[in-house]
Amino acid sequence: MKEVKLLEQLSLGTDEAYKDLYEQYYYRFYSLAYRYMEEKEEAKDIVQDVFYEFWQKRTQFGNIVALKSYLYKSVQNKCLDKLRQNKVRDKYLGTLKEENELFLNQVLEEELYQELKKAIKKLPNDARKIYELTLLGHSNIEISVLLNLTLDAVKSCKKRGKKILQEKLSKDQYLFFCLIMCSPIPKLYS
Amino acid sequence: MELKTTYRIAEILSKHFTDSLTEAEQVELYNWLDASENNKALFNKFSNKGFFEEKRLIEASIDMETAMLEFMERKYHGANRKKFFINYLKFTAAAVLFIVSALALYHYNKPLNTQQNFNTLEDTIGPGSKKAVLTLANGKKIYLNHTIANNISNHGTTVIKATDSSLQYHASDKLHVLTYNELETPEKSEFIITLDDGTKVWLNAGSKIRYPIAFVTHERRVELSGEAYFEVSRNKKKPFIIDIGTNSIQVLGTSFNVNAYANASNIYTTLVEGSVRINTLSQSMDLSPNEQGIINLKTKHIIKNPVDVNLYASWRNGRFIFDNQPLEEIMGAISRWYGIEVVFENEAARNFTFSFNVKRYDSLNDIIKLLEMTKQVTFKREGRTIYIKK
Repeated sequence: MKEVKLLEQLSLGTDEAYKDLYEQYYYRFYSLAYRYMEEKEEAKDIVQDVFYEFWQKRTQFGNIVALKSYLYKSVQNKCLDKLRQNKVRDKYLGTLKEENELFLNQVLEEELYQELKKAIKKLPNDARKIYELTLLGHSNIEISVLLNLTLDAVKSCKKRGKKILQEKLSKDQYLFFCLIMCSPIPKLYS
Repeated sequence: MELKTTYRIAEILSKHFTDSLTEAEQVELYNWLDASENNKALFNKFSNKGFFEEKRLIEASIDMETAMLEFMERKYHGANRKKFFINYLKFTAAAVLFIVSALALYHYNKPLNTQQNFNTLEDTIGPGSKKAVLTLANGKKIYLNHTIANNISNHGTTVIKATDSSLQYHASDKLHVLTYNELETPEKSEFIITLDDGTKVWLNAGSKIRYPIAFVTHERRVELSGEAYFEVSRNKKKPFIIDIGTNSIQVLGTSFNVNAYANASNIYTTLVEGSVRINTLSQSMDLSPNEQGIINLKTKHIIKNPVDVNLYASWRNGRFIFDNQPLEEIMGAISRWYGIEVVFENEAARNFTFSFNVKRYDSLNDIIKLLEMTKQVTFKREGRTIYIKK
């Protein structure tokens, strides 16, 4: 679901929209909560509570970025409350300033990972494989062996991919690109 | 750094790692790197070859689907569901512990070999009766059985106990908000309720229905667990919807049976007349009369089969009718109605099929005798537990 539509459907409360919310957004918030709580069940419970609270005030958000920020901050607050309750806050967290840095570092990590996934999804097949392998730490030579391509082919493909990404991701064309290329989210139970 | 800046940096870093930065963005990236040691450390971390793979492995290991299904459950049934469930578990654990100690004591003192053959049984196990527990909006519980017959006033609405086996709701005009009551039939019981819109519901043993005392909104929505037969009064403007976990049955005006026990693996909807639509999170299916829709709770797939509806609606007319059904299913219905435990000592017997037609208000012994006459299975009884042998 595209962002505008997702927000609209979330506020209407359709099951489909909440499925999308979980598919697209659950991991980053869980991952943040886990970084704080270091315990799977607690991390999960916190994200579930945050999502449920959002569901109760689902009509109050103007855009998806505002919603995303609200969810990140809610997860942060809930984790800190919980750690305070468990009286281990001092052990894990220093000053407020340090805490905020830790929080934003983690958010950056989650967002970067999601951006990377989004970026390689937009490439044509061969280029996507090459970039995925690059991100997984393989050199051009290794990639050429793995994909049974010549080294030059890998390099030129990367060049083309680079061009595609540059064009596609440059700001003004970004929206247009999304409209054409965004593939529908696969159905969970189909 | 604020959140919005963080999102922008994530975008630029992503472009850096996929070789697609513009020159202006390159400058943005350098400025960010120069701004702090923290940023440089982060950049090194992300440049590390293991970063992407590690994130991907962790993501793949997370059970997002369960979390999502739990959320859907909560979305439909409220926030306290989980806490309530945990309390319930604690209570059950305590109860089980008590029963186990009681059993241990009993076994310690009992004479040897109390297992009895059914044919020589002196005392009999009686059937269930018309009774139920009504929970009002304020949490007050009222036990309904033939010994009481009175009017219960409830939020300006009068609940009239019409006969010794049914409840009837009549709403006053004053109501504007949804106020819920709940009717539960424990094992060994059944009850009939007429909702405010005239819809009649037969509740079989071990079932529960939650409903508004007046349908004041644009739809008529109730929640069900267990088994019930519905005669929904026709109202095109207000669809009647039965929620069963994340699944639902949507009705216009019609009669049908729903079998949705919590410990079963399927939900069965058997349509007698009219039309209904069955919904899961991912699929919908319309039923015509004499069809049965089956939701597989694991896969969430719906299938439908033509059936003899009398088999599935017979219980409310006081009969047990089975036609070539596996013994496991038959014993499930019987155990709820007679309040017994069933133990299959012979695993294969679960799938033996039987056909019979008996009165629900006969004693259990009559049914057991009938089954034993087939010579396919024998039954032994110890207290309220029935053992099924070859």
